[in-house]
Amino acid sequence: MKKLVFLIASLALALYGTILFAGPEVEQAAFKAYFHNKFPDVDKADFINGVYALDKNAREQWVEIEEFPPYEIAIDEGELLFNNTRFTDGKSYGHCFGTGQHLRKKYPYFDEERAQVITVELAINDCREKHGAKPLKYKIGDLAKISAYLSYHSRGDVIDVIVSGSAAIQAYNKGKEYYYTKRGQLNFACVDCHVSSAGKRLRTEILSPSLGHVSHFPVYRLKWGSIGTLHRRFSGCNSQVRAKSQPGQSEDYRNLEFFLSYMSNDLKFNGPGVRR
Amino acid sequence: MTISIFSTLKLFIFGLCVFALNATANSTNPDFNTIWLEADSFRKEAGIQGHEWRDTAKILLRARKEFKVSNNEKAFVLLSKARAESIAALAQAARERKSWERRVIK
Ligand code: HEC
Repeated sequence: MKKLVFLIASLALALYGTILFAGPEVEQAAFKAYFHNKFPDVDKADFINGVYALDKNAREQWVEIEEFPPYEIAIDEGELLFNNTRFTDGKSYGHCFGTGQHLRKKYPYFDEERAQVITVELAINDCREKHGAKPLKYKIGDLAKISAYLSYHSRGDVIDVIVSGSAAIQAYNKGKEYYYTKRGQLNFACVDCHVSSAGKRLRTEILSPSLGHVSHFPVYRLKWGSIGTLHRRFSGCNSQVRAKSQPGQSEDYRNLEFFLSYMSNDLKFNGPGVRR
Repeated sequence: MTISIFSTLKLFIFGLCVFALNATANSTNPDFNTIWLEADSFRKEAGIQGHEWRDTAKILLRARKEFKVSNNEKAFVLLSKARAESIAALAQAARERKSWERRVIK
């Protein structure tokens, strides 16, 4: 009898253990620990600065650029668009987003009713369509500017993505699979460049760590000469390995953003950013 | 049952397309269109599985263009390249379904 109780108890414990030890929470801890161990000299909060957390020279140049940051115009234009746009029904973005302050930390989230991940960019276009306006392009232009304005007014807020409930976990798992899957003619996964090779040089660029990747978007890229959203960057990285990229806000990209944001929980938003 | 009717229908439509394209082709080599359609269907399938490569569709279009102006040799080189890419992309999809999970940071 005692043996049986023991057996059942240990089985229950083992089951509990697998649930406990295989979920998003444990994966997040392992993800962070990987980078913290790989770069013990980098301040944990500094991972939001991407490659500039790792490379001193690049950081110096970046600090200089930040004195007159090229994304400032985008913030100003985004503010005008946010405050002055009147939809045909007389409503404004404020009807969807209030003042627009401290908004960024609400996204991305899993919407149980719509059974999908909602990002801030998707929400902007949802708002427009709800009020009879045409959706904006997702990777560039006005939408990226509005997003820059919203990010700016969420600086310092903590990334706090919640993954709970089976549907949300499923979306998270799809994002995770996307992240770890090799794609394209060059046969690379995100993990190949932004984890194992983080800090190493790829042609002229030093590879940034995935931890903190979502904190500073949208980003003004000198190479683009304009501001672009996170999904614009995703598609750039797809193309780089000669994989077909996806449209902005595709389900895959939103799940990927959901996964990556969750990995960066507890770090702070510092967007918009500037990158080479 | 419904599946088999559906796939029969797909095959039939595919056959029709091949026939239609062959009928309009002005070349002595009717195989081009058959291979082209096959390569394109592989490409699409790779796309459905999230593994289409960046340039395959462009190469297929270029092959078609060359074929139209009777640049057959070039057309076939491009076509076989696109076909090989599509098949490799499908193989990658199958391989990755089994191997991505091993890379998860634990
Ligand atoms: C072949 C290597 C390679 C692969 C694979 C790759 N990237 Fe990148 N990625 C780069 C390079 C190079 C840059 C620019 C330098 C940097 O910041 O890392 C970059 C930049 C980024 C940035 C911007 C970083 C910042 O601080 O602004 C994000 C986000 C990103 N990649 C996400 C991804 C995701 C998600 C994937 C998988 C879909 C991916 N990358 C796959 C090479 C790669």
